Amino acid sequence: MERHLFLTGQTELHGSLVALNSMQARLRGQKATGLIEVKVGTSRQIVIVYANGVQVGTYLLENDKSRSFNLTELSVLWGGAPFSVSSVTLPDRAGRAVWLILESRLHERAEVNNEQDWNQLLARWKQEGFNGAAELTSKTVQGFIVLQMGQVVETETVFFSGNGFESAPPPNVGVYGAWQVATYAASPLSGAWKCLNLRESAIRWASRALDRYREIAGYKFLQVTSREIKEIIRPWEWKIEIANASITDDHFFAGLEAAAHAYRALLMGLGTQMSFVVGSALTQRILNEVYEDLEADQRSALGAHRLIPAAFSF
Amino acid sequence: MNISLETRPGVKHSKRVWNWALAAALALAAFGWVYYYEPLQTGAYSSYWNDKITDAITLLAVFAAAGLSLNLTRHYAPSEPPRRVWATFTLGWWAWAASESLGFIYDYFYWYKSYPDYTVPEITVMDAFWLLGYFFFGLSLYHQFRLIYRAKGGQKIAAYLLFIAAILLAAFGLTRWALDAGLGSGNTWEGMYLGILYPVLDLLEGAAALWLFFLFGLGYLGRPWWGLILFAFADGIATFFWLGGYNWVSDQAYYTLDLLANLIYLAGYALTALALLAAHEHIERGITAETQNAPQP
Repeated sequence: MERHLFLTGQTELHGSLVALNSMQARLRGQKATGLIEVKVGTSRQIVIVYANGVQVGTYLLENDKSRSFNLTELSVLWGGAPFSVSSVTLPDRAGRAVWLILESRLHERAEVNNEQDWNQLLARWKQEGFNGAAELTSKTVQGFIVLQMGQVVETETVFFSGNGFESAPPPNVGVYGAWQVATYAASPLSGAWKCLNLRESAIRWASRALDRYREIAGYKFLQVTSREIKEIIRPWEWKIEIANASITDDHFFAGLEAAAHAYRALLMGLGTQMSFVVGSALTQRILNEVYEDLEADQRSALGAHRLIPAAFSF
Repeated sequence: MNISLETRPGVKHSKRVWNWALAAALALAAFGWVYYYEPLQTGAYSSYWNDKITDAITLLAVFAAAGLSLNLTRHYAPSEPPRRVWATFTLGWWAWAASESLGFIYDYFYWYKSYPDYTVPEITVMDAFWLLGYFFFGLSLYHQFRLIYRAKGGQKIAAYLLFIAAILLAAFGLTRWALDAGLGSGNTWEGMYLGILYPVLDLLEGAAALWLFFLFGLGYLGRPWWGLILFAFADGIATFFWLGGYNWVSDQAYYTLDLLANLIYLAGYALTALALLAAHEHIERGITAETQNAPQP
């Protein structure tokens, strides 16, 4: 994994366990999303991922491979030689993207030297129906995209340019110098990919339910209902935005259970508020109808956490 | 993480809705009292003036329902599918408001002016408006069901018109059967046909509204339909008497049932108006709250 992200962070070249502990404590204390990187020698990297103050995982990166790592092994690995330790806080979307990459295996590397190369790469992913993620880096930019069936998932895209984070690729991919592209195949059994699938499924279910509600109740009732849902979930401080029938989830949940809890609360709040206007039977009907319209894998991702219409009563 | 949701609606019924509910309850009580006791004693025209007091209360209620229905419709943009539901619903209430208003005029000419005779024509312009109201309510129900059950393929008004034709034919058959059975003596064929058509329409629209009640439950957008259920009840009692039911019950039971039918009838208008007001207030208060919470420039 490239290191541009750490440009805004803090680095101690002569790191120590004390420095590492203090960086961990800071991310925990600030309930921040971020990364801590320990560089051991020239070829090994240990990356600790934090999601809103909660440690999500620790990974050892070596020879283009990433594996889960127990931090207590650090002293064995370290062997007394100096190591550098860096930390950086990130927006949740970037944290999630890095977590996905760390829980995936490298698929291939490519170089993009012009716009045509980039478009060809996009076309190939589309043709192959590639599922996975890609890390794109140039001299100054580092970004991540997620691909499902070869299509870029816009809500998961994040790019860092030194000036800050953007949620879309810069318009000049392939222009102004070479871009390195590393693609990672999805690991559907890993926590990060399961979280992505759950997030996509729950947000799609909730958004489509609101859209169907709008068809029956109308736009103004939808406006009032979305406002009420926002009020209900506000105390949790999740980065879930509801603008009429459009729901965007930019929160980095520290694992599947935390995410499932959040989506349960979101769907519960949504259903309850809808039922004030269209009644509980019709709300249940809308949730059922939309749930049945979801893809089979999305239903199974939701079902694994008992996020099914029958589990809700309003 | 413990999920404990504060899911009560932030937008509750406003004081205004409760005040109007209280006013409606008082109007119902006043209506019942005047209807039953006829307190105004002004000689030969006592009945007429007592009747006009109850009619005036009814008129207030129907205009409230029609006005508030229009108010709710205005919350929808022309392109929004629910607008069709509420626009036709509104037309129905205005048709009935027109009919109730014409009742005043007919009573004036055929009761007050021609006293002591009281012979209102069997078929009047009022009937045209009652039927128009039924037509629009039916259309509104049709749109509502299509919206809920995701009916595809355009508006299919033709399907609704076919359905109407089937109802008219069924009423025709029932009229023939009733005349053959010797019912409705003293009525013309047309009068008999209308007398049968009304309860058939009441029954169908009441049943459809009841269906919506089971779908919408206590939801804001389900409540305006409750009025149609009450009308079906009230008209059911009236039909029972029209078919000669008064011969089968005691005088006291007759008066009580008659009062009940009239109270339910008025309650139908009042409930619709209150339900529409509550829905309107829910939108207004919700949007006002959103505007207040929006970041100031």
